[in-house]
Order: sequence, then C-alpha cells, then structure tokens
Amino acid sequence: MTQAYDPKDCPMPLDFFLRRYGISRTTAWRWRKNGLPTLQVGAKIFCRESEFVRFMETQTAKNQPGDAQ
Amino acid sequence: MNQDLLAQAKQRLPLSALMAQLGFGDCAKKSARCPFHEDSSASFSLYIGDDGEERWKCFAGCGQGDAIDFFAKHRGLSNTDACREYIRLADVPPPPAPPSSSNPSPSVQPPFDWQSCVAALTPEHRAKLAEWRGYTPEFVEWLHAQNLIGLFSGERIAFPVHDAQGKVIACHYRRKEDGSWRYFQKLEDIGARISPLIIGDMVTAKTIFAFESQWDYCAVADKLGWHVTTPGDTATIITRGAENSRLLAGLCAPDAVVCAFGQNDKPNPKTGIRAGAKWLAAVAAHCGCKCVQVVTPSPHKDANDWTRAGATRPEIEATIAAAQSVTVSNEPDLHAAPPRKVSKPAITLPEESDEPESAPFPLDALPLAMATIIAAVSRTERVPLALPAVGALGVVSAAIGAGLEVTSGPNRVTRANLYLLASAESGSGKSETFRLIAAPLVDHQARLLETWRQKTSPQLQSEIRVLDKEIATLERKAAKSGDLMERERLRGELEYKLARKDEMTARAAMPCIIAQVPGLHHGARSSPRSYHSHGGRCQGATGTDGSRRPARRRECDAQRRWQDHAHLPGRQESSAGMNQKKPRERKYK
Repeated sequence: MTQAYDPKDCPMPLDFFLRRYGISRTTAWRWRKNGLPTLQVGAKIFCRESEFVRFMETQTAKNQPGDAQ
Repeated sequence: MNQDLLAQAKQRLPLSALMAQLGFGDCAKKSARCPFHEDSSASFSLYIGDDGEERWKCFAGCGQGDAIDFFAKHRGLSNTDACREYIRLADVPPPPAPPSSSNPSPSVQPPFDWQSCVAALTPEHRAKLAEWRGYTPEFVEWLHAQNLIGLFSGERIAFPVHDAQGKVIACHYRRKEDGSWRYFQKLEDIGARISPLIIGDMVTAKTIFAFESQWDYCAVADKLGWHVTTPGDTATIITRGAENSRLLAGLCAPDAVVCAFGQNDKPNPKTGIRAGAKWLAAVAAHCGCKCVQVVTPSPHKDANDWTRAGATRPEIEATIAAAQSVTVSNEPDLHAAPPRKVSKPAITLPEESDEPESAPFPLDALPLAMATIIAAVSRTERVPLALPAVGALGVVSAAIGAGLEVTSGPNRVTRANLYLLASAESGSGKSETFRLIAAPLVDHQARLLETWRQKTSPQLQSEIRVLDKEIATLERKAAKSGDLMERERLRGELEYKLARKDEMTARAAMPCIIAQVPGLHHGARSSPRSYHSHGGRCQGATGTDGSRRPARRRECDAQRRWQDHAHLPGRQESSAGMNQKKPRERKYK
C-alpha cells in the first residue's frame, strides 16, 4: 500500500535527513531495523519527513539520561 | 493425373465452392482472415488469376495457389492425393476404363462398407476358417457376430479398421497370394493412420492383452473362452504387425498391466534381430505402464501355432500367471547374431541401434493431474509419453520460474528452472504436442498481457507524464530558490521523483513472453510476418522470447514485470522485516 501523495510531505532521500539532523548512517541502519518506515525506489532509500521526525522523537525519548538501568 | 479430369473438376467445383464445402465460405472473398493460421487481420485473399481461374494467397506466408493447392493444404495431402480426392469431391464422372485395367484406384470407389464384408463371410467360410486356424466354430461365430471378421474382395479374410469414433473406415485383409496383409481403403487416401485393433475399453482396463497378430488373439481368446465369459477390466490390443508397437503410446492407463504375447520368430539374417523381441521391447517402451511378457513355449512359433499343437486352457493360464516383467534396456543384445563382416567398407556409417530409444517415462513419479494431462495428450496425438512429459516439465518450470527457491545446501539456493530439449523426427507431432501442453500457460499469459495493455500500461504512462511535470516544476523552483535549506529540500524531492520515473519507465516496457507456440501470436510480435522471421526458435523452448538476452535473465525480468502488475506504485518496504528473508510469491495465482 502506498500513502496518499502530499506535496508538503514528499519522501526525501534518507541522506538528506541524516545530514540535516546529524545522524550517523549506522544509527539510520539501526532505526530502519527497529521499524523506521522507509521507501525503496530502485536502489535508493527515501523517507517522509513526518515519519522520520516522529521516529526520531520516540528514539530520543527512550534514551533520555536516567532511563538507563 | 488426367488434365482433362482436373479441368472438369475445377469447372464443377471452383475454389470458392470448394471453400464453402469445406466450411470456409466466409473466407472466400478478396480480403479475409486466413483459415490456415490464427489471423488477427485479413491476410487471405481469393482472386481471379490471369487464366480466369480462382486462386488464393495468404500474405502471411501460408501459401498460394489454386483449388487443389488449397485442398492439399487443408487436408495435409500430397499433390497427387489432393488431385485424386478433389476429382472425387467434384464428382467428375470417371473416364471409361481401358479393357486391361482390372484394378481401379480405390480412392474413386464409393465409401467403404464393412457390413457387406461381414455379410460375405458365409457359414461355409466360417467353418473353413475354424478348421484352417484351429479355432472352435463357436468362437468364429462369436467373432462374426461381433462384426470383427469379414471377407473382402472374394476370398480374403479381413479385420476392421476403426477411426477414433469407433466407425469402421477400412479393412485390414490378408492376401491369398502371399499371405501378406494390406489395407483397404488406403489409409493415406482417407486421411487416416494405422490404428491397432482394440477390443474392450482401454481406458478402464486394468489388464491389457497385447498381440502382434490377429490370429494369436483369436487362438488365445478361443482357448480361454473369452467369447463365452468376457473377463472384466480387461481389453485386448492387436498391433497388426511387429512394427506398430508405438501405437500403444498413450492408450493404456498408467496403473494397467500389459500382458504381451510375443512370437518366437527367427532372427533377421541381415540384422540378427528377432522381430518379436523388437516388438516386445517397443511395447514395453510405449505402453506407459507395467508390461509383462507371456512366453510362448519354444518349439512353437506363436500363440496360434501353440494352440494348434494342442495347448490347453490351463497351460495358457499358467503361462500368463508366470509372465515375467519386461525391463527395457539400452544394453546391446548379446544373443543377436554377429554383424556380417565386410572386407573393405567403402564408407563407415554410424551404427544404428535397434534397441528401443529409451526407458518408458516414469509417469507415476509426477503429480496425478500432470500425469493425467500427459497421458491424455499422448493418447490424443499418438506420441510417446516422453514427448508431452518433457513439454509439461518445461511448462511447469517456466510457470514457476524464479518464484520458488529451495535451499539445497548451505549458502546454496536452487530454483525450478529447467533447460530441456525435446527432439524427434520431422512430422512426428512435436509441435502439436507442445501446443496442447503449453496451451494453459499460453492462454494465461495472453490474459495477463491483455490486462497489461488495457490497464497497467496506461496507468504507468499517465504516472510517468505526471512525474515529468512535477520534475519540471521542481527544477524551476530549485533554480530560483535562494535559501540553501529550501534548495536542498527541493533537490531531495527531485531525486525521489527522478527515481520514481526511472522505475516507472522500466516497468512500462513490454512484458516478455515466457512460452510461445508456433502458429500462435499473443501480441509480443507485431505481425505474423515478424513472427515467422523468428519461427522455430521458441518452439518447445519454454522461457525464451527470441531475444539475445540469456534465458534466465529474461525469465526473471518477465517474472518481475508480471509481479509488478499487481502493485503499481513503488514497493513499500516494511522495515521491521528488513533483514528477514521473505518467501517469494508465486508468479501466477
């Protein structure tokens, strides 16, 4: 299933978000493994900004200082 | 052939009338669809030639000519036979026969009447036959009552020849002069092939008795009293000679047992091979089921010889019970006579093996549905089981394609691809067999192609055009944008659109054809002419589309394209299962 096309939330290359938010490729790989919704077109990987930001927030909330046992 | 007769026939039955008579009346016009091939456009033309005679031509390459050429092509006859039949069809009165002519051509005689032959076998003849062959009078009477024996052209004992519907179309008679057997009418004249004499229902029979000669059958049936009590679940097949064992192909049920009564004839002085042994081996090779040999005791030449020498019912029953299974072997016959020594052969020819070509195809190893289809095609086309079986394996392989993988070892995956090559003599039914076997796949493929043309392709094309417009807009915006962040965002969006467009363009290419049958066109070829230019390359070779790309690659491409039809937009990847190997889906559901 594909999502309805929203010009303001067009899928962007994953690298774009990595550069913008300063996230390493390894972290992106782990996030994808943990459920970050991505879209592969040919050999390239894209992601919607809304989904990326939402996922990033959940990951960040999990790793707040003091949460570690 | 008398030219006057032909001219008369053409006047009485011109091409247009002939076509109407053959059921092609709607094609008898200047422009029509060709009756000889699957024609999507009008390739056929009937026109008046320079000599004022009606002629025809198929512009797709089926041929051209006059009424006789049309008739010969339609019936698959030689020119001579077509002329003869055409004259008969035109009802041209035959010329007065010369006084010396005592043997007119059978083909201009009226249709064969078997009942008159049966009626001609009088009680005196029947008594004489019983005495000659050593049968009981009751058995001969039963044979006569069953319309299984008659008298042809005077004193010639004859047996009926049936067509597929069970109608007697000719007779197989014994010449008194030399004891040889002939057919009347000539089978090629009536468009028939040699067929065995079958008594009983071969489809349901669990035990099938196979004989080389009619006399052997009569001898055994008489002694075993089959005319008194017909045994259940049995049938009899008589091949009418040692050379016709291939006629068993496709006739026997896979779970039946064939009891073959071989003959103890002498070896051929030239080849050193016994015709009876060759017949038995060929029966075992073609019957497609278990075959056992009922051995006639050695001093006797055949079963009839044995019964005339005093064989009794218990003896024959004991021999049948002791029948040994026949194994087909490709090993040389060590009992055969050594080849003749030639001092200085001028040329050395490759030795021809008289052994059967191969072991019978293991039909029982296949799924029941597949085995049933193979047996049915083999029976319909009268070809050995191996031919449709190889085709069926190829079709199944092509249908599965890369859609199924078996992990056959560590780091090793095997797919269902098979590379098969079936070869047989010209005219032995290869194309027709493959056409029947591949028909389901070809039909399904044609339906998918039609769906692709009507639905998928327009959707893809419209999507590509929309993407083109969006790309152009994004390019303009990115060029005008002064904000670096915005510019980078637009570039990212543009990258996505371009990737989508590339993918859509790849999908919009024409799907490959997986299976193709000569004579059928399912759209990948633009015209019949272009197909013929590639003709023969694809026949039987499932998984090829005539292009120069490797077959496996093409198959994978085709597979991907067909699969893509189900979900047009880009694949939505589930990241939760990214590293888990997903089972591949079947291509055709």
